[in-house]
Amino acid sequence: MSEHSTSHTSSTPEPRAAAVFGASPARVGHHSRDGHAVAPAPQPAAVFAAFHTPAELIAAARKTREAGYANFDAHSPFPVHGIDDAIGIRPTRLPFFTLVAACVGFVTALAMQWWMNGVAYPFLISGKPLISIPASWPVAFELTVLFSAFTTVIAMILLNGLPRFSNPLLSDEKFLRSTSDQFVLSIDARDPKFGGALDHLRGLGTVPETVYTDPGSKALPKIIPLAGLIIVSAMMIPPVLIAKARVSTKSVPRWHFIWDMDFQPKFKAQRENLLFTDLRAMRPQEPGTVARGELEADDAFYRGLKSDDNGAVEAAQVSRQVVAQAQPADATQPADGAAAPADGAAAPADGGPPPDPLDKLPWVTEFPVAVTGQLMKRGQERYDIYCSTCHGLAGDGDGLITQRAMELEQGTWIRPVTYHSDAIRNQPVGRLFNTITNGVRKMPPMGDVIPPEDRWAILLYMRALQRSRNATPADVPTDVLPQLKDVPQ
Amino acid sequence: MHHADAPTFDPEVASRETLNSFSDFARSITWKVGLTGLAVAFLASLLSKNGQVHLAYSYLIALAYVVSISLGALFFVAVQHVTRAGWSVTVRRLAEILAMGLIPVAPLFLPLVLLVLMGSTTPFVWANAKFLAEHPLIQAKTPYLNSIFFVIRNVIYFAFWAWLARRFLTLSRRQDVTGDPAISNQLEATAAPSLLVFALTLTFFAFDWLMSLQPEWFSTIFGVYYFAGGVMAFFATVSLVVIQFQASGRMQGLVTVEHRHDLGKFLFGFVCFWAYMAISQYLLIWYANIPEETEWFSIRQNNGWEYVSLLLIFGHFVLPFLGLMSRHVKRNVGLLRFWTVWLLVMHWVDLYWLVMPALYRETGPNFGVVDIGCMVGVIGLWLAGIQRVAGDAPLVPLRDPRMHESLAFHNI
Repeated sequence: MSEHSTSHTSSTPEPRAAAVFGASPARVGHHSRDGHAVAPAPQPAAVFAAFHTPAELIAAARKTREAGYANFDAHSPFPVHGIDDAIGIRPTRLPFFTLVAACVGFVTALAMQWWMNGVAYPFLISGKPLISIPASWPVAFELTVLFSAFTTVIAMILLNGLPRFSNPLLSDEKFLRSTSDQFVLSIDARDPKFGGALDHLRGLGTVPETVYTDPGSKALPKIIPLAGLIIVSAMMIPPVLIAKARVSTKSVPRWHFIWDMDFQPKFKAQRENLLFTDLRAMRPQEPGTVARGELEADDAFYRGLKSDDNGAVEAAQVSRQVVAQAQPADATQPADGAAAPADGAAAPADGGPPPDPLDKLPWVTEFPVAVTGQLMKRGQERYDIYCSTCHGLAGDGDGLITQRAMELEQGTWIRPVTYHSDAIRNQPVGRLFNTITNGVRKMPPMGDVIPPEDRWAILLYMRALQRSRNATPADVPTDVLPQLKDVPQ
Repeated sequence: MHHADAPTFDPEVASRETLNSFSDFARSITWKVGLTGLAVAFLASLLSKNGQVHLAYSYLIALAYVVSISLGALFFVAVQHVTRAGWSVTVRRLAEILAMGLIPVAPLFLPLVLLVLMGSTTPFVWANAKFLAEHPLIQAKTPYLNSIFFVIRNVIYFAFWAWLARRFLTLSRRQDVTGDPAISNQLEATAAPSLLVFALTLTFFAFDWLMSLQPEWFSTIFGVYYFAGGVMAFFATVSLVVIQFQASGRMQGLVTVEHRHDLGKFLFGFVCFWAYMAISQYLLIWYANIPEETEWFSIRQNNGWEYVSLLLIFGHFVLPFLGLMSRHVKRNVGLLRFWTVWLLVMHWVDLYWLVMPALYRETGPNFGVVDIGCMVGVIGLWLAGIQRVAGDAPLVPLRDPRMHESLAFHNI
């Protein structure tokens, strides 16, 4: 393969290749001047004259401007001081674009951070105000610079009339000497006084040249739309791959592009940590401390206890001790069999279990939260989610899990009590709250799962369930009374 | 590349223009004004109960003010040599002369040094043995913050600065006579390593005289902050001097609108640099929120000091930033003069804000005749001293090899 291509290259005569590629622009130029060229006929694009020193160029530019020409330009190998004044170039408007972009960048940065940190995603960082100017300052500075830099470059390009893909002047060999050792003044054909331009330049003591418009076709080269199509198609590949990944599964593990971000040297929840003797990465709270925001001083709200009897701390301590004592005792109870499934909250009148120490605590009897329809709806929703699977939708202790457990007859399941016994109905609401929080018999503590507001909401719904079993037609609003089918009319 | 019609320059004519060529009245008045100012400040300080303590602090502000300008000048000269700058030759001599101000200003520190050696709590509490006994944290800093080492350090600072300023001016004046281009290379070789020593001496000068006013507080960027304000004040000073000299007929044709434009650019740049340093210092301390660091700003955000802080934010940055942005302002003599005066006042406010809150933590700003007297007095003596040590120097380098480049200097 390589041998073949080598022989092919060497078999092509090099001078010929150079002639084909190197001479074509000049040849086209000559053809067009001779009139043999293809349509459209070339028009003069500009005339230009060359000078030997910057001083001559400045003098010529000044005279050209005084002669009334407006659309002309100077070309030199290096910046010439004073040429701007000689040509009459107005002061650039570029700084105003920069200034406006800088202001927009500054305001954008501040508005963005105000929205992100203060409104859309308020996230408290080390006690700082959500919206604070010092923290916003670096970003505001950066965006100010970014906006003004981009705008300056883009506006500079546009103000210079770029991009311009072809300029007839650049196809003239003599003009190109203005990039090395000559100073050139060109007058554009669009100038209204272009008719006298050649004579004017001759009057400056030079031999002017005329440049003609490019006689080539104005159509886009075919490569450009083709390249555009390829680029646009290539740009579609990443979104297509992402879309595919989002709707399909893979049998190989994901790629880890950024290894140390995916696997960080830190302890996650429930992991082992050899630094501590108990090997727990999650550190328990230090005895005698209260975490910020977890004081929970309101006994009624957080524990269902009246705090004014013995003082908040005392009551809370009693409550915790009692719960701690009650649970080991409960663990042995399933052996009792018969007594436990019946009515755990057991009235002393039964004569069965001993008096429950919880009975003596000062439970609240009123809801410590505002009782509203909204709270009731919330309670119903939470009850259906957390409670109904065991307790049943109506609180009869016949949820789906209970039904299945009873079918299995394994003897390890303790059937939840019904809410509609007098014992439960007469329990203070604070005591029921304690039951939800700390659990009872087989029922697990739900305090870590359900926030206190929702526990009160569930209790409110539970109260509604209880009342529905003991209601009279008088409890029902008169406008919905006719909807009840078996009410004696 | 030289401009075709660069102005002609005659060293013989230029050599006749020196500070001493001013009228006798102008020459003799500066030290009289200086002594009068200090006398007024001293007498005014006797009138109030806490007056002499205030006088010490106010005197320190005035000294830090003139030192910062002279240090800015020294820095400017060194940078011009290191970068082989051509444009600045016609204004470089003014900077060389201003930098010489470090020599006459050194003895003015003696009263304060004496207070330190006597163990007074004014102006530095760390100099007092009783205070140290009650403050174990500051006691732990005594290996650095003790009066003997303090004096040794300051002798080093001023000895180095005096040597450098003298070397820059002496060699440059030798070139005035010989026109030897080798002297330019010699100055360049001096300037580069000197800039390193300069950075350290300036930083520790700022630590010693300004930061240790509240010795429990520390900020590593503090020296740069003082430097930024000082260089800004130097550019304001040199622009103002050029404008005033030209208004009185001196330096004609030597410093053009192009040079003033460039000095204005530097002034604008260092207004921004000062703000950049200020926010850099503030932001980190604000974010970390460590009490021993925030205390310094807490004092300056309460009890009336917050208005001085706001005055600095707007007067020292926002307004001059917007005001000096346009090239038309920098090329306009009247507007440039306005901003130089404005910023020289703001530089004093800046130093006042650094120093005075240490004295008036809870009572808020206290300003009066003592402060004005100190400023007039110290500036007067500083100028008189400059006149004495550099009064016979021509106002431009006469035969600098880059003189022609500077005369032909042209902004695009």
